[in-house]
Amino acid sequence: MPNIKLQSSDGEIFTVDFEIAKSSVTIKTMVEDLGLEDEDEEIVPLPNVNSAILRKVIQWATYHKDDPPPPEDDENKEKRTDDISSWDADFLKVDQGTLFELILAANYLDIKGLLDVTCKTVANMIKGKSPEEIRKTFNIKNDFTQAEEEQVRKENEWCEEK
Amino acid sequence: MGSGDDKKVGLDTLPNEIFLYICSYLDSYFILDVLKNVCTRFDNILSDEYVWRKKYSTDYPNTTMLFPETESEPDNNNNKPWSSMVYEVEKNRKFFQDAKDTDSSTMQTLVFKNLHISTINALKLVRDNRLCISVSRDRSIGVWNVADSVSQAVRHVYPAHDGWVWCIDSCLGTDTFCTGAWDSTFKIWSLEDFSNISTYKCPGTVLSVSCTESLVAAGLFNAKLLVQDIRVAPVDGASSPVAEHAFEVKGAIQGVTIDGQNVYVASSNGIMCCYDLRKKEVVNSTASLCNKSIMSYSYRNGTIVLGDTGNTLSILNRNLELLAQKTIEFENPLQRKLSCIKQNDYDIFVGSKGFLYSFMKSNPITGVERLQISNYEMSAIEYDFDKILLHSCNLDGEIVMLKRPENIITV
Repeated sequence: MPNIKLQSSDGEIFTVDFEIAKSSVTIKTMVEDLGLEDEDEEIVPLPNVNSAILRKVIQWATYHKDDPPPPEDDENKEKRTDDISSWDADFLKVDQGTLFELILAANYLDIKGLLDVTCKTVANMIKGKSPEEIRKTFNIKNDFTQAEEEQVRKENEWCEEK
Repeated sequence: MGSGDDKKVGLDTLPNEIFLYICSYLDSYFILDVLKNVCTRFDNILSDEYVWRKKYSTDYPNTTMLFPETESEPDNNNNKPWSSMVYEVEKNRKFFQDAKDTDSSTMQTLVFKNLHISTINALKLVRDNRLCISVSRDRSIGVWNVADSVSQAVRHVYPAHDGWVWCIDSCLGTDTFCTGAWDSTFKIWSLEDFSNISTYKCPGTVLSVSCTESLVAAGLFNAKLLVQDIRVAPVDGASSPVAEHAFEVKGAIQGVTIDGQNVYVASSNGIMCCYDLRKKEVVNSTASLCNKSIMSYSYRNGTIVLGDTGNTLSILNRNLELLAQKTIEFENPLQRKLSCIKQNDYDIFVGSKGFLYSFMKSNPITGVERLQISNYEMSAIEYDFDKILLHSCNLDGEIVMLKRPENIITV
Protein backbone atom coordinates (compact mmCIF):
# COMPACT_ATOMS: atom_id res chain seq x y z
CA MET A 1 0.00 0.00 0.00
CA PRO A 2 2.14 2.87 -1.16
CA ASN A 3 -0.47 5.62 -0.95
CA ILE A 4 -3.23 6.66 1.37
CA LYS A 5 -6.02 9.18 0.95
CA LEU A 6 -6.58 11.69 3.72
CA GLN A 7 -9.65 13.89 3.87
CA SER A 8 -9.49 17.23 5.64
CA SER A 9 -12.36 18.73 7.63
CA ASP A 10 -13.31 20.93 4.67
CA GLY A 11 -13.49 17.95 2.36
CA GLU A 12 -10.23 18.19 0.42
CA ILE A 13 -8.56 14.86 -0.31
CA PHE A 14 -4.78 14.45 -0.14
CA THR A 15 -3.00 11.42 -1.54
CA VAL A 16 0.05 10.69 0.57
CA ASP A 17 2.73 8.01 0.63
CA PHE A 18 1.80 5.74 3.52
CA GLU A 19 5.40 5.74 4.71
CA ILE A 20 5.07 9.48 5.20
CA ALA A 21 1.55 9.39 6.67
CA LYS A 22 2.78 6.81 9.18
CA SER A 23 4.68 9.48 11.09
CA SER A 24 1.24 10.22 12.50
CA VAL A 25 0.64 7.56 15.11
CA THR A 26 -3.09 8.29 14.88
CA ILE A 27 -3.20 7.55 11.13
CA LYS A 28 -0.91 4.55 11.47
CA THR A 29 -3.09 3.02 14.19
CA MET A 30 -6.28 3.80 12.32
CA VAL A 31 -5.04 2.18 9.12
CA GLU A 32 -3.70 -0.89 10.88
CA ASP A 33 -6.72 -1.34 13.14
CA LEU A 34 -9.17 -0.99 10.30
CA GLY A 35 -7.07 -3.21 8.06
CA LEU A 36 -6.86 -0.55 5.36
CA GLU A 37 -3.32 -1.50 4.27
CA ASP A 38 -4.60 -3.20 1.15
CA GLU A 39 -7.40 -0.80 0.37
CA ASP A 40 -6.23 1.75 -2.14
CA GLU A 41 -9.54 3.51 -2.43
CA GLU A 42 -10.34 3.87 1.26
CA ILE A 43 -10.39 7.45 2.52
CA VAL A 44 -9.23 8.31 6.05
CA PRO A 45 -11.29 11.23 7.37
CA LEU A 46 -9.53 13.76 9.58
CA PRO A 47 -12.40 15.91 10.87
CA ASN A 48 -10.16 17.92 13.18
CA VAL A 49 -7.73 19.24 10.58
CA ASN A 50 -8.53 21.69 7.81
CA SER A 51 -6.91 21.56 4.39
CA ALA A 52 -4.50 24.46 4.92
CA ILE A 53 -3.10 22.89 8.08
CA LEU A 54 -3.12 19.35 6.68
CA ARG A 55 -1.11 20.59 3.69
CA LYS A 56 1.49 22.05 6.08
CA VAL A 57 1.58 18.86 8.14
CA ILE A 58 2.15 16.75 5.04
CA GLN A 59 4.87 19.14 3.91
CA TRP A 60 6.59 18.79 7.30
CA ALA A 61 6.24 15.01 7.39
CA THR A 62 7.58 14.69 3.84
CA TYR A 63 10.71 16.67 4.65
CA HIS A 64 11.27 14.67 7.84
CA LYS A 65 10.39 11.25 6.44
CA ASP A 66 13.91 9.87 6.89
CA ASP A 67 14.38 11.21 10.42
CA PRO A 68 15.21 8.66 13.09
CA PRO A 69 12.22 8.03 15.35
CA PRO A 70 12.13 10.55 18.23
CA PRO A 71 13.41 9.26 21.58
CA GLU A 72 10.71 7.39 23.51
CA ASP A 73 10.18 9.70 26.41
CA ASP A 74 11.75 12.60 28.15
CA GLU A 75 14.97 11.01 29.24
CA ASN A 76 16.94 14.11 28.36
CA LYS A 77 16.61 16.32 31.39
CA GLU A 78 17.71 19.59 29.88
CA LYS A 79 14.87 20.63 27.67
CA ARG A 80 16.56 22.71 25.04
CA THR A 81 14.69 25.09 22.81
CA ASP A 82 17.66 26.40 20.84
CA ASP A 83 18.03 23.26 18.74
CA ILE A 84 15.38 23.99 16.11
CA SER A 85 16.76 23.29 12.63
CA SER A 86 16.83 26.15 10.14
CA TRP A 87 14.40 24.33 7.87
CA ASP A 88 11.92 23.96 10.71
CA ALA A 89 12.45 27.57 11.76
CA ASP A 90 11.63 28.71 8.20
CA PHE A 91 8.72 26.30 8.00
CA LEU A 92 7.28 27.77 11.19
CA LYS A 93 7.49 31.38 10.08
CA VAL A 94 3.72 31.55 10.00
CA ASP A 95 1.08 33.61 11.71
CA GLN A 96 0.21 32.68 15.28
CA GLY A 97 -3.17 31.20 14.35
CA THR A 98 -1.47 28.76 11.97
CA LEU A 99 1.20 27.90 14.55
CA PHE A 100 -1.39 27.00 17.18
CA GLU A 101 -3.49 25.09 14.61
CA LEU A 102 -0.35 23.13 13.77
CA ILE A 103 0.15 22.34 17.46
CA LEU A 104 -3.44 21.09 17.74
CA ALA A 105 -3.04 19.04 14.57
CA ALA A 106 0.29 17.57 15.71
CA ASN A 107 -1.34 16.67 19.01
CA TYR A 108 -4.42 15.12 17.39
CA LEU A 109 -2.43 13.27 14.74
CA ASP A 110 0.15 12.27 17.38
CA ILE A 111 3.27 13.44 15.54
CA LYS A 112 5.77 13.91 18.33
CA GLY A 113 8.48 15.56 16.24
CA LEU A 114 6.11 18.26 14.96
CA LEU A 115 4.54 18.78 18.38
CA ASP A 116 7.99 19.24 19.93
CA VAL A 117 9.24 21.76 17.41
CA THR A 118 6.03 23.82 17.43
CA CYS A 119 5.84 23.89 21.23
CA LYS A 120 9.51 24.87 21.42
CA THR A 121 8.78 27.72 19.03
CA VAL A 122 5.99 28.98 21.28
CA ALA A 123 8.20 28.55 24.38
CA ASN A 124 10.81 30.73 22.69
CA MET A 125 8.17 33.39 22.07
CA ILE A 126 7.30 33.38 25.80
CA LYS A 127 10.78 33.21 27.29
CA GLY A 128 12.21 36.25 29.03
CA LYS A 129 9.06 38.34 28.66
CA SER A 130 7.08 40.09 31.36
CA PRO A 131 3.42 39.20 31.98
CA GLU A 132 2.38 42.33 30.09
CA GLU A 133 4.64 41.51 27.14
CA ILE A 134 3.22 37.99 27.02
CA ARG A 135 -0.34 39.36 27.00
CA LYS A 136 0.60 41.66 24.17
CA THR A 137 2.39 38.99 22.12
CA PHE A 138 -0.46 36.51 22.37
CA ASN A 139 -3.36 38.94 22.55
CA ILE A 140 -4.45 37.76 25.98
CA LYS A 141 -6.72 39.84 28.17
CA ASN A 142 -5.63 40.55 31.72
CA ASP A 143 -8.73 39.23 33.45
CA PHE A 144 -7.51 39.45 37.03
CA THR A 145 -9.58 41.73 39.21
CA GLN A 146 -7.62 44.27 41.15
CA ALA A 147 -8.13 42.26 44.34
CA GLU A 148 -6.93 39.10 42.61
CA GLU A 149 -3.81 40.81 41.37
CA GLU A 150 -3.15 41.89 44.92
CA GLN A 151 -3.60 38.28 46.07
CA VAL A 152 -1.33 36.90 43.35
CA ARG A 153 1.34 39.34 44.42
CA LYS A 154 0.95 38.23 48.03
CA GLU A 155 1.16 34.57 47.12
CA ASN A 156 4.32 35.20 45.20
CA GLU A 157 6.00 37.01 48.01
CA TRP A 158 7.40 33.86 49.52
CA CYS A 159 9.64 33.44 46.50
CA GLU A 160 11.17 36.83 47.00
CA GLU A 161 11.45 36.59 50.76
CA LYS A 162 13.66 33.54 50.69
CA MET B 1 -12.50 23.01 15.92
CA GLY B 2 -12.94 21.75 12.38
CA SER B 3 -13.50 24.44 9.86
CA GLY B 4 -13.02 27.15 12.50
CA ASP B 5 -11.21 29.77 10.48
CA ASP B 6 -13.15 32.42 12.30
CA LYS B 7 -12.56 30.86 15.71
CA LYS B 8 -9.00 31.74 16.65
CA VAL B 9 -6.83 29.33 18.57
CA GLY B 10 -4.35 30.99 20.86
CA LEU B 11 -2.05 30.38 23.78
CA ASP B 12 -4.90 31.05 26.20
CA THR B 13 -7.32 28.63 24.55
CA LEU B 14 -5.07 25.61 24.06
CA PRO B 15 -6.07 22.42 25.88
CA ASN B 16 -4.41 22.20 29.31
CA GLU B 17 -2.15 19.32 28.43
CA ILE B 18 -0.69 21.17 25.43
CA PHE B 19 -0.25 24.35 27.44
CA LEU B 20 1.63 22.33 30.06
CA TYR B 21 3.71 20.68 27.37
CA ILE B 22 4.84 24.12 26.21
CA CYS B 23 5.57 24.95 29.87
CA SER B 24 7.84 21.93 30.08
CA TYR B 25 10.27 23.91 27.92
CA LEU B 26 10.29 26.84 30.35
CA ASP B 27 12.06 27.32 33.67
CA SER B 28 9.79 26.66 36.62
CA TYR B 29 10.61 29.90 38.37
CA PHE B 30 9.74 31.81 35.21
CA ILE B 31 6.43 29.97 35.04
CA LEU B 32 5.64 30.76 38.68
CA ASP B 33 6.96 34.31 38.69
CA VAL B 34 5.69 35.45 35.31
CA LEU B 35 3.47 33.12 33.29
CA LYS B 36 1.13 32.45 36.20
CA ASN B 37 0.38 36.17 36.39
CA VAL B 38 -0.68 36.60 32.79
CA CYS B 39 -4.35 35.63 33.16
CA THR B 40 -6.68 33.71 35.47
CA ARG B 41 -6.66 30.63 33.27
CA PHE B 42 -2.88 30.24 33.46
CA ASP B 43 -3.06 30.95 37.17
CA ASN B 44 -5.62 28.18 37.65
CA ILE B 45 -3.72 25.59 35.65
CA LEU B 46 -0.39 26.40 37.26
CA SER B 47 -1.78 26.53 40.80
CA ASP B 48 -2.51 22.83 40.68
CA GLU B 49 0.12 21.14 42.84
CA TYR B 50 -0.40 17.92 40.89
CA VAL B 51 1.19 19.62 37.87
CA TRP B 52 4.36 20.27 39.88
CA ARG B 53 4.40 16.88 41.49
CA LYS B 54 4.23 15.32 38.05
CA LYS B 55 7.00 17.56 36.77
CA TYR B 56 9.21 16.52 39.66
CA SER B 57 8.70 12.81 39.01
CA THR B 58 9.43 13.34 35.30
CA ASP B 59 12.59 15.34 35.97
CA TYR B 60 13.86 13.07 38.72
CA PRO B 61 12.60 9.55 38.13
CA ASN B 62 13.09 7.05 40.97
CA THR B 63 14.05 9.79 43.40
CA THR B 64 12.25 10.57 46.65
CA MET B 65 12.24 14.15 47.79
CA LEU B 66 13.05 14.54 51.48
CA PHE B 67 10.62 17.29 52.40
CA PRO B 68 11.13 19.38 55.49
CA GLU B 69 8.95 17.80 58.14
CA THR B 70 6.80 20.86 58.57
CA GLU B 71 5.67 20.41 55.00
CA SER B 72 5.25 16.68 54.93
CA GLU B 73 1.55 16.86 54.14
CA PRO B 74 1.27 18.14 50.61
CA ASP B 75 -2.47 18.77 50.81
CA ASN B 76 -2.47 21.26 53.67
CA ASN B 77 -4.13 24.49 52.74
CA ASN B 78 -1.78 27.21 51.67
CA ASN B 79 0.92 24.62 51.52
CA LYS B 80 2.55 24.31 48.14
CA PRO B 81 5.44 21.96 48.68
CA TRP B 82 5.80 20.76 45.11
CA SER B 83 5.80 24.10 43.36
CA SER B 84 7.96 25.65 46.09
CA MET B 85 10.39 22.79 45.78
CA VAL B 86 10.63 22.80 42.00
CA TYR B 87 10.94 26.59 42.11
CA GLU B 88 13.76 26.62 44.59
CA VAL B 89 15.66 23.69 43.13
CA GLU B 90 15.58 25.07 39.60
CA LYS B 91 16.41 28.59 40.66
CA ASN B 92 19.37 27.29 42.60
CA ARG B 93 20.54 25.22 39.68
CA LYS B 94 20.31 28.25 37.42
CA PHE B 95 22.30 30.22 39.98
CA PHE B 96 25.10 27.68 39.80
CA GLN B 97 25.02 27.58 36.03
CA ASP B 98 25.20 31.35 35.78
CA ALA B 99 27.97 31.45 38.37
CA LYS B 100 29.98 29.00 36.27
CA ASP B 101 29.70 31.24 33.25
CA THR B 102 32.33 33.82 34.08
CA ASP B 103 31.16 36.11 31.29
CA SER B 104 27.66 36.14 32.62
CA SER B 105 26.21 39.53 33.34
CA THR B 106 23.60 37.86 35.50
CA MET B 107 26.09 37.19 38.26
CA GLN B 108 28.10 39.55 40.36
CA THR B 109 31.15 38.63 42.44
CA LEU B 110 31.98 40.81 45.40
CA VAL B 111 35.02 40.40 47.63
CA PHE B 112 34.97 41.56 51.23
CA LYS B 113 38.45 41.99 52.65
CA ASN B 114 40.98 44.13 54.54
CA LEU B 115 39.57 43.26 57.89
CA HIS B 116 40.41 39.73 59.01
CA ILE B 117 44.02 38.62 58.95
CA SER B 118 43.35 34.95 59.44
CA THR B 119 40.92 32.18 58.57
CA ILE B 120 37.22 32.84 58.97
CA ASN B 121 35.52 29.93 60.68
CA ALA B 122 31.90 30.85 60.33
CA LEU B 123 29.56 33.30 58.62
CA LYS B 124 26.05 34.27 59.59
CA LEU B 125 23.53 36.41 57.73
CA VAL B 126 21.42 38.61 60.02
CA ARG B 127 19.03 41.55 59.81
CA ASP B 128 16.93 40.20 56.92
CA ASN B 129 20.13 38.99 55.32
CA ARG B 130 21.36 42.53 54.80
CA LEU B 131 24.30 42.05 57.13
CA CYS B 132 26.79 39.22 57.38
CA ILE B 133 28.82 38.54 60.50
CA SER B 134 32.16 36.74 60.22
CA VAL B 135 34.10 35.15 63.06
CA SER B 136 37.81 34.49 62.67
CA ARG B 137 40.90 32.91 64.14
CA ASP B 138 42.26 36.43 64.45
CA ARG B 139 40.00 36.71 67.51
CA SER B 140 37.80 39.29 65.93
CA ILE B 141 34.27 39.62 64.60
CA GLY B 142 33.56 41.36 61.31
CA VAL B 143 30.26 42.85 60.26
CA TRP B 144 29.57 43.45 56.58
CA ASN B 145 26.91 45.16 54.58
CA VAL B 146 25.96 42.59 51.93
CA ALA B 147 22.78 44.24 50.69
CA ASP B 148 24.35 46.72 48.32
CA SER B 149 26.55 46.31 45.30
CA VAL B 150 29.64 47.58 47.07
CA SER B 151 31.55 45.45 49.52
CA GLN B 152 31.68 47.30 52.76
CA ALA B 153 32.74 46.55 56.34
CA VAL B 154 30.34 48.01 58.88
CA ARG B 155 32.14 47.06 62.05
CA HIS B 156 35.23 45.30 63.35
CA VAL B 157 35.11 43.99 66.90
CA TYR B 158 38.67 43.31 68.05
CA PRO B 159 39.50 41.56 70.24
CA ALA B 160 36.18 39.80 70.55
CA HIS B 161 37.56 36.74 72.35
CA ASP B 162 40.90 35.69 73.81
CA GLY B 163 41.18 32.81 71.36
CA TRP B 164 40.06 31.68 67.92
CA VAL B 165 36.44 32.65 67.39
CA TRP B 166 34.91 29.46 66.06
CA CYS B 167 31.13 29.59 65.80
CA ILE B 168 28.14 31.93 65.69
CA ASP B 169 24.38 31.79 65.89
CA SER B 170 21.78 34.52 66.02
CA CYS B 171 19.34 34.50 68.92
CA LEU B 172 15.81 34.09 67.59
CA GLY B 173 13.45 36.93 68.21
CA THR B 174 16.01 39.09 69.96
CA ASP B 175 18.43 41.62 68.67
CA THR B 176 21.42 39.61 69.79
CA PHE B 177 23.80 36.96 68.57
CA CYS B 178 26.18 34.54 70.21
CA THR B 179 29.79 33.55 69.44
CA GLY B 180 31.81 30.65 70.80
CA ALA B 181 35.60 30.49 70.99
CA TRP B 182 38.77 28.63 71.97
CA ASP B 183 39.02 30.81 75.08
CA SER B 184 36.33 28.52 76.57
CA THR B 185 33.63 31.14 76.58
CA PHE B 186 30.62 32.08 74.60
CA LYS B 187 29.53 35.66 74.40
CA ILE B 188 26.26 37.40 73.70
CA TRP B 189 26.44 40.51 71.53
CA SER B 190 24.04 43.25 70.61
CA LEU B 191 23.05 43.51 66.96
CA GLU B 192 22.33 47.19 67.54
CA ASP B 193 25.80 48.40 68.39
CA PHE B 194 27.81 45.13 68.45
CA SER B 195 28.68 45.62 72.09
CA ASN B 196 29.31 42.64 74.37
CA ILE B 197 26.26 42.02 76.56
CA SER B 198 27.46 39.04 78.55
CA THR B 199 30.16 36.38 78.70
CA TYR B 200 29.68 32.78 79.87
CA LYS B 201 32.58 30.58 80.90
CA CYS B 202 32.47 26.99 79.67
CA PRO B 203 34.41 23.93 80.83
CA GLY B 204 36.20 23.63 77.47
CA THR B 205 36.72 25.05 74.00
CA VAL B 206 33.43 26.05 72.36
CA LEU B 207 33.13 24.56 68.87
CA SER B 208 29.42 25.06 68.27
CA VAL B 209 26.58 27.21 69.59
CA SER B 210 22.84 27.23 69.07
CA CYS B 211 20.45 29.88 70.35
CA THR B 212 16.79 30.33 71.06
CA GLU B 213 15.16 33.39 72.60
CA SER B 214 16.24 32.36 76.08
CA LEU B 215 18.78 29.54 75.78
CA VAL B 216 22.22 28.95 74.36
CA ALA B 217 23.56 25.45 73.88
CA ALA B 218 27.32 25.17 73.55
CA GLY B 219 29.02 22.06 72.16
CA LEU B 220 32.55 21.69 73.45
CA PHE B 221 35.78 20.19 72.18
CA ASN B 222 35.90 17.83 75.18
CA ALA B 223 32.56 16.14 74.34
CA LYS B 224 30.56 18.22 76.78
CA LEU B 225 27.30 20.00 76.23
CA LEU B 226 26.39 23.09 78.20
CA VAL B 227 23.00 24.83 78.09
CA GLN B 228 22.62 28.26 79.69
CA ASP B 229 19.62 30.47 80.26
CA ILE B 230 20.88 33.76 78.87
CA ARG B 231 18.14 35.76 80.56
CA VAL B 232 20.08 35.13 83.77
CA ALA B 233 23.08 37.41 83.75
CA PRO B 234 26.30 35.65 84.68
CA VAL B 235 28.27 36.82 87.72
CA ASP B 236 31.92 37.00 86.79
CA GLY B 237 31.27 34.67 83.84
CA ALA B 238 29.60 32.05 86.01
CA SER B 239 25.97 31.10 86.00
CA SER B 240 24.40 27.81 86.93
CA PRO B 241 23.61 26.02 83.69
CA VAL B 242 20.20 24.73 82.69
CA ALA B 243 21.90 21.50 81.69
CA GLU B 244 25.38 20.12 81.51
CA HIS B 245 26.23 16.75 80.04
CA ALA B 246 29.43 14.88 79.33
CA PHE B 247 28.94 12.41 76.51
CA GLU B 248 30.28 8.92 77.01
CA VAL B 249 31.49 8.68 73.47
CA LYS B 250 34.44 11.04 73.31
CA GLY B 251 34.46 13.27 70.31
CA ALA B 252 34.50 17.00 69.80
CA ILE B 253 31.01 18.40 69.38
CA GLN B 254 31.05 19.82 65.88
CA GLY B 255 27.44 20.83 65.75
CA VAL B 256 24.63 21.57 68.16
CA THR B 257 21.01 22.69 67.72
CA ILE B 258 18.26 23.43 70.23
CA ASP B 259 14.84 22.51 68.87
CA GLY B 260 12.14 22.71 71.54
CA GLN B 261 13.15 20.48 74.39
CA ASN B 262 15.60 18.56 72.24
CA VAL B 263 19.24 19.39 71.76
CA TYR B 264 20.83 17.70 68.76
CA VAL B 265 24.52 17.05 69.04
CA ALA B 266 26.89 15.99 66.25
CA SER B 267 30.04 14.39 67.54
CA SER B 268 33.19 14.31 65.46
CA ASN B 269 33.39 10.53 65.87
CA GLY B 270 30.36 10.11 63.64
CA ILE B 271 27.58 9.80 66.20
CA MET B 272 24.48 11.97 66.43
CA CYS B 273 22.70 12.26 69.78
CA CYS B 274 19.51 13.86 70.97
CA TYR B 275 19.58 15.23 74.52
CA ASP B 276 16.27 15.97 76.25
CA LEU B 277 16.31 19.18 78.25
CA ARG B 278 13.46 18.11 80.52
CA LYS B 279 14.62 14.57 81.22
CA LYS B 280 18.24 15.78 81.31
CA GLU B 281 19.46 12.73 79.49
CA VAL B 282 20.33 11.43 76.06
CA VAL B 283 17.10 10.03 74.62
CA ASN B 284 18.30 8.97 71.21
CA SER B 285 21.56 8.31 69.44
CA THR B 286 22.81 6.73 66.25
CA ALA B 287 25.39 4.11 65.56
CA SER B 288 28.51 5.54 63.98
CA LEU B 289 27.42 7.09 60.70
CA CYS B 290 30.83 7.01 59.12
CA ASN B 291 34.25 5.61 59.81
CA LYS B 292 35.80 9.06 59.39
CA SER B 293 35.35 12.22 61.41
CA ILE B 294 32.35 14.46 61.12
CA MET B 295 33.55 17.84 60.06
CA SER B 296 30.48 19.84 59.16
CA TYR B 297 26.92 19.97 60.39
CA SER B 298 23.71 21.71 59.45
CA TYR B 299 20.23 21.61 60.96
CA ARG B 300 17.04 23.04 59.52
CA ASN B 301 13.40 22.23 60.33
CA GLY B 302 14.16 18.76 61.57
CA THR B 303 16.58 17.84 58.80
CA ILE B 304 20.17 17.16 59.79
CA VAL B 305 22.98 17.13 57.24
CA LEU B 306 26.45 15.92 58.11
CA GLY B 307 29.69 16.00 56.15
CA ASP B 308 32.75 14.01 57.09
CA THR B 309 36.45 13.76 56.28
CA GLY B 310 35.81 10.85 53.92
CA ASN B 311 33.62 12.67 51.40
CA THR B 312 30.39 11.24 52.76
CA LEU B 313 27.26 13.31 53.09
CA SER B 314 24.48 12.02 55.37
CA ILE B 315 20.91 13.25 55.78
CA LEU B 316 18.93 12.39 58.92
CA ASN B 317 15.53 13.34 60.26
CA ARG B 318 14.73 14.55 63.77
CA ASN B 319 14.31 10.96 64.93
CA LEU B 320 17.92 10.45 63.86
CA GLU B 321 16.93 8.01 61.14
CA LEU B 322 19.35 8.00 58.25
CA LEU B 323 17.37 9.06 55.16
CA ALA B 324 20.09 9.22 52.55
CA GLN B 325 23.81 9.00 52.25
CA LYS B 326 26.20 9.72 49.42
CA THR B 327 29.93 9.50 49.02
CA ILE B 328 31.06 12.16 46.62
CA GLU B 329 33.60 11.16 44.02
CA PHE B 330 36.33 13.72 43.63
CA GLU B 331 38.82 13.87 40.81
CA ASN B 332 41.54 14.83 43.24
CA PRO B 333 42.04 11.96 45.70
CA LEU B 334 43.50 14.33 48.29
CA GLN B 335 40.26 16.23 48.42
CA ARG B 336 38.34 14.28 50.98
CA LYS B 337 36.87 16.71 53.43
CA LEU B 338 33.40 18.13 53.37
CA SER B 339 34.39 21.14 55.40
CA CYS B 340 31.24 23.24 55.56
CA ILE B 341 27.54 22.71 54.93
CA LYS B 342 24.54 24.94 54.59
CA GLN B 343 21.02 23.83 53.74
CA ASN B 344 17.83 25.52 52.75
CA ASP B 345 14.47 23.79 52.44
CA TYR B 346 15.27 21.68 49.40
CA ASP B 347 18.97 21.99 48.65
CA ILE B 348 22.25 21.33 50.38
CA PHE B 349 25.42 23.34 49.77
CA VAL B 350 28.70 21.71 50.58
CA GLY B 351 32.12 23.35 50.62
CA SER B 352 35.18 21.24 50.04
CA LYS B 353 38.70 21.84 48.90
CA GLY B 354 38.38 24.32 46.09
CA PHE B 355 34.80 23.47 45.19
CA LEU B 356 31.30 24.35 46.16
CA TYR B 357 28.68 21.67 45.52
CA SER B 358 24.94 21.75 45.63
CA PHE B 359 22.72 18.72 46.04
CA MET B 360 19.02 18.16 46.19
CA LYS B 361 17.60 16.84 49.46
CA SER B 362 16.46 13.55 48.06
CA ASN B 363 17.04 9.84 48.21
CA PRO B 364 19.25 9.06 46.42
CA ILE B 365 20.99 12.40 46.90
CA THR B 366 20.97 13.86 43.42
CA GLY B 367 20.95 17.01 41.28
CA VAL B 368 24.63 17.75 41.67
CA GLU B 369 26.01 21.10 40.60
CA ARG B 370 29.62 22.07 41.10
CA LEU B 371 31.44 25.36 41.14
CA GLN B 372 35.18 25.84 41.35
CA ILE B 373 36.06 28.59 43.80
CA SER B 374 39.77 28.30 44.62
CA ASN B 375 42.42 25.71 45.30
CA TYR B 376 41.97 25.93 49.02
CA GLU B 377 39.68 24.47 51.57
CA MET B 378 36.45 26.26 52.21
CA SER B 379 35.85 26.88 55.88
CA ALA B 380 32.67 28.90 56.00
CA ILE B 381 29.56 29.23 53.90
CA GLU B 382 26.34 31.17 54.15
CA TYR B 383 23.46 31.17 51.70
CA ASP B 384 20.45 33.26 50.94
CA PHE B 385 18.19 33.09 47.92
CA ASP B 386 20.33 34.33 45.02
CA LYS B 387 23.30 35.01 47.23
CA ILE B 388 26.16 32.76 48.33
CA LEU B 389 28.94 33.86 50.67
CA LEU B 390 31.98 31.78 51.36
CA HIS B 391 35.48 31.84 52.69
CA SER B 392 38.43 29.77 51.48
CA CYS B 393 41.32 29.36 53.86
CA ASN B 394 44.05 30.93 51.79
CA LEU B 395 42.49 34.21 51.07
CA ASP B 396 43.68 36.16 54.09
CA GLY B 397 40.29 36.62 55.56
CA GLU B 398 38.52 37.36 52.31
CA ILE B 399 34.85 36.64 51.91
CA VAL B 400 33.65 36.04 48.38
CA MET B 401 30.03 36.72 47.61
CA LEU B 402 28.28 35.56 44.45
CA LYS B 403 24.99 37.29 43.93
CA ARG B 404 22.45 38.38 41.40
CA PRO B 405 22.71 42.04 40.54
CA GLU B 406 19.58 43.73 41.86
CA ASN B 407 18.24 44.75 38.46
CA ILE B 408 18.33 41.25 36.96
CA ILE B 409 15.45 39.78 38.92
CA THR B 410 12.42 40.29 36.76
CA VAL B 411 9.02 39.75 38.26
